Amino acid sequence: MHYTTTERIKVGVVYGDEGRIRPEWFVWEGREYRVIDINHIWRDKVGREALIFFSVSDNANTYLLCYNIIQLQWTLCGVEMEG
Amino acid sequence: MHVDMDAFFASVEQRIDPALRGRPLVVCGGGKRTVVAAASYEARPYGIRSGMPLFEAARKCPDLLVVQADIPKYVDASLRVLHVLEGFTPDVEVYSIDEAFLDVTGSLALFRGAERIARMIKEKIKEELGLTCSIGIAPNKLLAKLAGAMQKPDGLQIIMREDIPSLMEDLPVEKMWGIGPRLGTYLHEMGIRTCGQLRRIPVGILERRFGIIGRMLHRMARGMDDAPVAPCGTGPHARSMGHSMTLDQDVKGKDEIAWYVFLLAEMVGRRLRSGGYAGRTVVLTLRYRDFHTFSRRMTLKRYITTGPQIYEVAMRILDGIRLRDAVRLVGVSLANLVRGGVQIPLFEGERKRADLVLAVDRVNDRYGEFTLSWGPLRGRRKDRVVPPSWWPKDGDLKCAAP
Repeated sequence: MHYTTTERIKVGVVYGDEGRIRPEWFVWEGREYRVIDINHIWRDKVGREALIFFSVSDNANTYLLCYNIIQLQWTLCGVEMEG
Repeated sequence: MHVDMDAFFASVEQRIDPALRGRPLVVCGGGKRTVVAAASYEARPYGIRSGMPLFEAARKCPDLLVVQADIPKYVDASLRVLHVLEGFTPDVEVYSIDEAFLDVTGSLALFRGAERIARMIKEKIKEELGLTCSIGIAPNKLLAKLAGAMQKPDGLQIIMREDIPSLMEDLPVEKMWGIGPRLGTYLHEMGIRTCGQLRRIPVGILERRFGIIGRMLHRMARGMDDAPVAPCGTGPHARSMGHSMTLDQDVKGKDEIAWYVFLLAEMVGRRLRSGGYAGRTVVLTLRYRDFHTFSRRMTLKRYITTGPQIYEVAMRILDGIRLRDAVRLVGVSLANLVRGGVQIPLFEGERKRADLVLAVDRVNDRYGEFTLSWGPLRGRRKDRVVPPSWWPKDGDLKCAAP
């Protein structure tokens, strides 16, 4: 089941080699979710806004996180729930 | 060397959503009557292929999963693949969003052979993007592309120089890059079905039948190709730019078609200006509901760059067409392109119009496509379209590494 949203979220991030970003956990609706897998990363631009999208999974679901490089903001864009 | 990403759009979607992996999946456009842009390997045994109408694909496979294309994902993955390839040679020619040619001649000593380079490329793409590709290695581009298609998916095929005559002998002519269905049919009518048969036809006969293409066929049948690998920025400039769309429903009235023509003209104009191009031949393409497709063109004395200018000419073309049926697809393109050759406006009115277009472009550069547009196009979704001739720009390459 797919759930689409645009909610501002808090994300714990590790800045690694060559400036790579890796989200480790995020808090959504008061609950913390641990990122187990990063499935795919891609960049996009809307006008001058530069965005990095992360498809991540915990043990149950897949989440789409978006990092706005200009505004330094994280957004939860969607959840793909099993079943 | 030819590198071809396997079921590219579908594979990217399967990476993004693990629930899609191992399942029959197609990626398609957003319209109600869209066609398949890419089919996963799980969908192919059902006979599903790119270009097939979605309803037909769904009929062939009732469990088919359908994902709407999201072009920025694929452009980003393509740029990251390009980044990997450029780690092995600077001579990388981007052929399309999911295909590239590499000249690895200068890197052979460094990486100890072409086969090792190919294996390293496959490994690196798998590691960085989780995607597979098929690679063909051969003495030229023609044969490298042929080799790449011989083992898919996740294949690696090498054609050695000494193997060329035996390989070509029984190879069906349609397998050769550049021989499409129509040319293939002409050759069949001449009793030519294999490259071996084509090779034995004197070049004079082929030239009389096909003109300059005849000489090319003569060389292709021998596996000969002198075309160099043209790295990004050194290849020929675009010859035409266009967009087309399948309409949500068949449209009979020219007034309704005009809206789509305006939208497409604006999209073409925007792309032209961002690439610094101007053109003077407008081509209008229409497809009737029975799939009969035709194009009409009009060439101007002056070069044009804006949506309204393209629209005006396209409408003159449309006015001259007597529609015999409802239309299901509309396409607008501009050919006879030049780069950086736009006439500076001389008169006040022209200057004002040019300033207006520039201002609109600046707003859309900053806030995204169709943030500001012409009145009739208000409400247009901010879709982005990657044409088949997609080509990375310098700015794209700089942000290739995530």
